[in-house]
Amino acid sequence: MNLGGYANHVARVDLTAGTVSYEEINEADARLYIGARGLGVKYLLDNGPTTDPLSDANMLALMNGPLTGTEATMSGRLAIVTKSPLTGTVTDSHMGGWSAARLRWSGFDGLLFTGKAASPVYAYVENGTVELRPAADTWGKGIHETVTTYQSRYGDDVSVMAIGPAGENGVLFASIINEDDRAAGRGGTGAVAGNKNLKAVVVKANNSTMPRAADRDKWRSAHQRALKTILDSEVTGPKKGGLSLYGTNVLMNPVNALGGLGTKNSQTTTYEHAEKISGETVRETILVAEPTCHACPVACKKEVLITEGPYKGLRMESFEYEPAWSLGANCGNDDVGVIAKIIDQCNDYGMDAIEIGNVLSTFMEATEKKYTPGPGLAWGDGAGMVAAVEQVARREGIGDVLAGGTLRAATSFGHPEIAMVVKGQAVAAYDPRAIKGEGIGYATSNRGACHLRGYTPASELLGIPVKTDPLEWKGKGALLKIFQDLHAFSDSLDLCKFSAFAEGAEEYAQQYEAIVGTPLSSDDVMLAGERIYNLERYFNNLAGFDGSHDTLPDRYLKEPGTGAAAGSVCELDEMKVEYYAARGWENGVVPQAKLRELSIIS
Amino acid sequence: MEVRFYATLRPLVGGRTVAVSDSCATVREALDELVERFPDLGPRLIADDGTVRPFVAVMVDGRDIRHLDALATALSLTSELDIFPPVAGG
Repeated sequence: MNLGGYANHVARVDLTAGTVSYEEINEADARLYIGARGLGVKYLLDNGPTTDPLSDANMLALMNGPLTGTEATMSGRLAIVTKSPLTGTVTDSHMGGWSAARLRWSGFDGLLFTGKAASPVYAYVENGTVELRPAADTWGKGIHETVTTYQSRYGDDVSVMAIGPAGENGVLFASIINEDDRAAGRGGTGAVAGNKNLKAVVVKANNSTMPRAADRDKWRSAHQRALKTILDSEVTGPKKGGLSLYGTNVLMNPVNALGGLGTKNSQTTTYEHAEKISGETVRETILVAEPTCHACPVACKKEVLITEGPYKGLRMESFEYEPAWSLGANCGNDDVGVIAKIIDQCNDYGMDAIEIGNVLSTFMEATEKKYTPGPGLAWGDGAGMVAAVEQVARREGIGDVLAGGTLRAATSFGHPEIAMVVKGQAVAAYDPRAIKGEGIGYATSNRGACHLRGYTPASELLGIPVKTDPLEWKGKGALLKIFQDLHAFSDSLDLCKFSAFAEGAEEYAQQYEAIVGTPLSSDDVMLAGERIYNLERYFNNLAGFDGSHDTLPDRYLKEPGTGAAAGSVCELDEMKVEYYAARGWENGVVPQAKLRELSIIS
Repeated sequence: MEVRFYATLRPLVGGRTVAVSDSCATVREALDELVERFPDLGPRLIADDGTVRPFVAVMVDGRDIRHLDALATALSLTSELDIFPPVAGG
């Protein structure tokens, strides 16, 4: 291959046969799909879009991009790509920390797992090789103990990406989580790993093998420019920007103020106790440390110490906006100790903290409306929530029902309409009655409801690249396409999405060009992003999805919001017309001509 | 009328809320009064051209004034005024 930046080394691991083979990256694919998310989806497509997610044939791809683990600011990301057992769509879920960088430093662009091991194994990765080793001693253990076990065995310079009991027990929204409590949280990647008897991927490497840019002169200029935008930004600027000082949870108050904070399973859109669970309160009361990921000066991660109540003494990391909402306002719970406890459970059991919050809120609404047998779960019952999460991870009692995710749980209660999901995956912390761009974003996301596929709140709340009215639906279809395409590209580099609060297509293009050593314009960035988004949609079309699946729960379409969103519903049908026109899709399906135009098919 | 502040603006005003005169009829009048009392707020909220700085959100009853009448947005005794510095997350 004639491209710089890549290790040009991918391992195919057949867990059934217990064999590992190595191959180079196809240069044409690398040019079209970049890496990480994009290239991972291409591997998945080639593996077969109709594969049963929980069959041996499904592929679990751990993919770096060409910027992963380099000196590029915020480049500590990898994508885990698979066919989701939760949604049936292709999915990719990214983790931060240092695992991605170590995987790159160990000499890999990606690891492609297929098959199923006869007994639990972990993959040990070092110096360009992969070995499968028995995991009998860690199977059944939580992620924290698993990490400790492997770090004790192999030293501190290892990363451990592992599943916990949730993945082993087939919880459909199980995650893969690393030693820094950074999660490939969404879509059930952990369930796929568990189904394959793959307990962990252990990577030993250090930065002595950090890749160098193909063009050092260009790199210095590109890197300095990108870094300056991050440092100067009033959002990302270290120790001065809102994201740096308060973490992602700085959003709790503004989203609540504009009537976009789904409360009690989105029955209302304002929460009277939002301040108690906000980033400001966390910083003032329980913050103890602010760790970073590889090559990141922002330090948005917030580590807290609970100082009172039943969880006093708990020190944990990942007190983020999404779980603070899903387990807080969404469940009528204003106790930061309970939120911290459950996030920590998720990090140890290995499950998606967004989905579990929605599972619990659905269970709570079902209880309130007497849809469930038994005592159920009351709004804000912290101890009950903690106990239920434990049951889910073990698939015990009601936990066995809840382990199927929000939609399956609601369906089992006889009321699927109370599941706030799209394509079977639960919604995030932006109510589409108040933030209309997220409505079309959730509906058309290729991996089920997701706030990060196209982060329109950057425009609707902050004003990047321009300020748009969150209550206005017109123009949001076209706006969403821009964000989806830009993020598809940055997810393929793989840079942290938060870089987009300061950087844009031009900064991405310059860094790619310097690292990979081939020309790329900002227009090329957007085109590659569009191609990757269409590749995912093509996969989903082949798997049986079309425009009828691009929808929202009726609650968002028919029941008005509250507070500043009083009287407002989400005008999804109008936005879909605009969005499909911008995409050139026909009823959610990519036409053959579009596939050819984007060089996805010949 | 009480004005609510958030994130990095709180240290500048010494708390979560600051009372302004009930006679403030517009957002501009309320901000003028606030900046007079807390001069450090001025450059954080107002651009050189006299408009609200980019990425700063001044909300009246949950609506960003950039989608209302900007600084001329009217206030009443029941108005809720929230002021956010540039914030974002995910």
